Amino acid sequence: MNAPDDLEFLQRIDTLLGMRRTSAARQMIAEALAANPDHPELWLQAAWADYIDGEEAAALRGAESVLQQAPDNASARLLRFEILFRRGEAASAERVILDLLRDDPNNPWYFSRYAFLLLQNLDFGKARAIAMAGLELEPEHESCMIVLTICDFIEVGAGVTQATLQSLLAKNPDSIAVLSLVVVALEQAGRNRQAFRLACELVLAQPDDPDAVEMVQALELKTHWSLAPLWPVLRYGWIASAVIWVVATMIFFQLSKVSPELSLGGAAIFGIYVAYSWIWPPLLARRLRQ
Amino acid sequence: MADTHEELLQPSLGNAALVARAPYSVPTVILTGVIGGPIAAIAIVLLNSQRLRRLRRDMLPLGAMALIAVATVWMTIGPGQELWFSQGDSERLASIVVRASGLLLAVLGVYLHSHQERTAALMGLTRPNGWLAGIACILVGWSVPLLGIALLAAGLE
Amino acid sequence: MDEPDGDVAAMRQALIDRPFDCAVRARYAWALLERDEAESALVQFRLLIEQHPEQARGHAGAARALLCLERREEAVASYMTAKSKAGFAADEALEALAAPITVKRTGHLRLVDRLAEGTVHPPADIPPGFAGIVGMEELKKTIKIKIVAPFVNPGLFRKFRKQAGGGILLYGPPGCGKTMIARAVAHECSAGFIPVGVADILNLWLGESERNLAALFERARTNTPCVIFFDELDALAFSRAKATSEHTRTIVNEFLTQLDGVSRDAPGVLVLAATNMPWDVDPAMKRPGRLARQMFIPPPDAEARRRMLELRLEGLPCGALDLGAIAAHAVDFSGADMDGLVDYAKEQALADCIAQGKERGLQQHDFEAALRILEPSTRAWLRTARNLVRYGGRDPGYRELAAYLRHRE
Repeated sequence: MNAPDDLEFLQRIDTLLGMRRTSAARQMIAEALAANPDHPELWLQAAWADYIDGEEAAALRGAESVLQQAPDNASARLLRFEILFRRGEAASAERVILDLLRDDPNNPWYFSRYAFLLLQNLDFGKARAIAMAGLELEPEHESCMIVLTICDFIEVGAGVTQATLQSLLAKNPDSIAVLSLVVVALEQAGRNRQAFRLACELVLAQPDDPDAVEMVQALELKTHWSLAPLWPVLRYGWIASAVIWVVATMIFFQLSKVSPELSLGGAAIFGIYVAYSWIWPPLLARRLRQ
Repeated sequence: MADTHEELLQPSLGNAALVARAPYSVPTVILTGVIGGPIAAIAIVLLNSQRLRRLRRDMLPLGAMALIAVATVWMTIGPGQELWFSQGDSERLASIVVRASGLLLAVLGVYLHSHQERTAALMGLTRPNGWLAGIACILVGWSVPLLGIALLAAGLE
Repeated sequence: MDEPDGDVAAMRQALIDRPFDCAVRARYAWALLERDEAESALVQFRLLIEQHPEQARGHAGAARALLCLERREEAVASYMTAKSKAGFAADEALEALAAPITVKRTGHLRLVDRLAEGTVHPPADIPPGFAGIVGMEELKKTIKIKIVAPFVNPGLFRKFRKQAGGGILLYGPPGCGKTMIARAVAHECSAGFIPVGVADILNLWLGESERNLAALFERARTNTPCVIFFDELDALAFSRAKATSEHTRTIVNEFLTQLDGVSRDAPGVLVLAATNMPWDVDPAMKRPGRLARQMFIPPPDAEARRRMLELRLEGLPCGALDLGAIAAHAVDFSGADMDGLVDYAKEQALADCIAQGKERGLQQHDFEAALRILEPSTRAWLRTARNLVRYGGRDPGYRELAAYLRHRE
């Protein structure tokens, strides 16, 4: 590759990687590397391809070797951060992203990635502040807005987040990340049927995404007709569960004073209901996953 | 930008001992409270506070919850039992009160950590296996009141 | 086959005694390579890869053997794989051998140059039509009715007030003959054929991409009747919702404009496209007047697989083979997988020949062993497709896929 070709060639590989066409990208990289075995950018692209294919160890080796030659390479550092993030090595990942932020403090993408790292480690207060800092740089930055919406979910619940979500949707109507967030919002608000319909659209757009499939399967379970008797628990979660237990215990206790037989019968039926609520959903989930 | 956000850009995940970990799941906490009673509920909530690295911040609510737990133990199996329950229904009612109290404290504990709980759910964090911790807390919940009463009885003698 | 010298014979004996000893197999393979028996060495290196796919030495050895066989691209790919594996040690000789391979010149002018030179394949250049595609009778019949007939008899369709225009998107698992079908369609339509492959598509992204795309469609218009075929459409018309680059969005917009133009004023141009990932194609591409008709190209059926085996085994030494039984067991195998199956069986037979020291033909058990080992490459695709149909079943574009999956289950 000579200099003018360089940029075009790398741009093409970049585009392929952006579309997750790693095998085509790898082929191009291999051909180019055969002629230019010491080209750090090509090795870096190969490492990104490894990362996209889930081969983290190889990707990290690639990123490290590039960083040995070019310690300031931002893309290699970002790759290193993403691998450490995915591996759950929070402290090391934080060091890398903070270094990146210090070198390029006007990049909202770095702010959003750091905010996600903080969320992953349950520090939503700082995550919100970091996302806000990113939005100061680019007021409509999608990823920062997503972090902010997640923080809203956490702190004030789905109801209050409607306005944020609406503005996010208006600005990014085609974004799959935003669509996922809307599904989560609907689910949190107990609107499982609507969430399921939307999640189906999500799977239609990316049927090879295990997260999307998992999400739609969970919602399919919640909206299955055979779980209708569990509606209060599915709608209100553990609060409903606790209330049901307390109310049932009080009823049976009082009933036992009037008619012990009736109380026993009622307790038996309640026991069957409890057993059904514990046994049937996991069985159904397994069946739906098949 | 770097200047205005300098305090934000200080590392906060560097010390593993200070980094929060995903809490035990809500069903684990609730079941432990219902089965093990108020002491077990406090024990599992305490474990969650420790996992979330907010023990110091939770001291006050945990103290209040401990008072409820002690009151429950006192009125159900301790010296207060005779004051609160008639002979006929004492055992069953006391058992119900213990469970209800355990449930109440577990619910309070879940509420106390609801933000972290929601974060963990939204971010899909892997939860710790609740079986071992739950069973341990239940055993603590069962044995501590009995131990307390035994000590009290020995003291009275 | 020459009688091996003392060392190699000893190594072969050691390998017979210890068939799972990788070190022995590696030594034997390298010895074969030194004796210029690259084909045999390749078999040994491949067996080594099967035993320890995570280790570099099998891949590196295979790379060297492939280079000796002048299969350079495969060699480079194998060497690249070796580099990402454990125990990799740079081999200077191999690096040197690999070095002369230069980057293919794929500048954006190539496509325009080719178009300017008028390299539209005339009908005579196209390989035979549906006669050249083995099996798949139902599919061929459907394609004749749905694609070829409207193109050849537009008047008849107009009389019945049936829409004849618009492009067709072929989708299905990789390696199942979508490109071959597109060529066959062009032949059946007695039309010229402009194939736009993934390399051309990559070129379209660069330079004056909009001009390149317009030139491509203009060429098709001036060469009517003509079939313009976009292979791997998802690379050109990647969903704008998923695209990270603004450039991709621009290209998709331009592509949509061109498609609308063709459907409006160029009835002699049939636009065909193929993709393995229809879900990655921008939804706007599938609207009426563009690629409104989507056709599922399934993996070959049992009869097609049997015919493929017959063709691939022609002229090879074979024992008594029940091709029908092999084909019946190779469920979901794509055309490419059938190649792999035959290759694996050949390697088994060759390894056996070397180990036993006497020649024999391909046997049924070679294929049975291959069938036990090989997983059809279409399975992952079909699993994904199942999600698509199950949760997005209302999309009419996937009706044929849904019917196929129902039938399969």
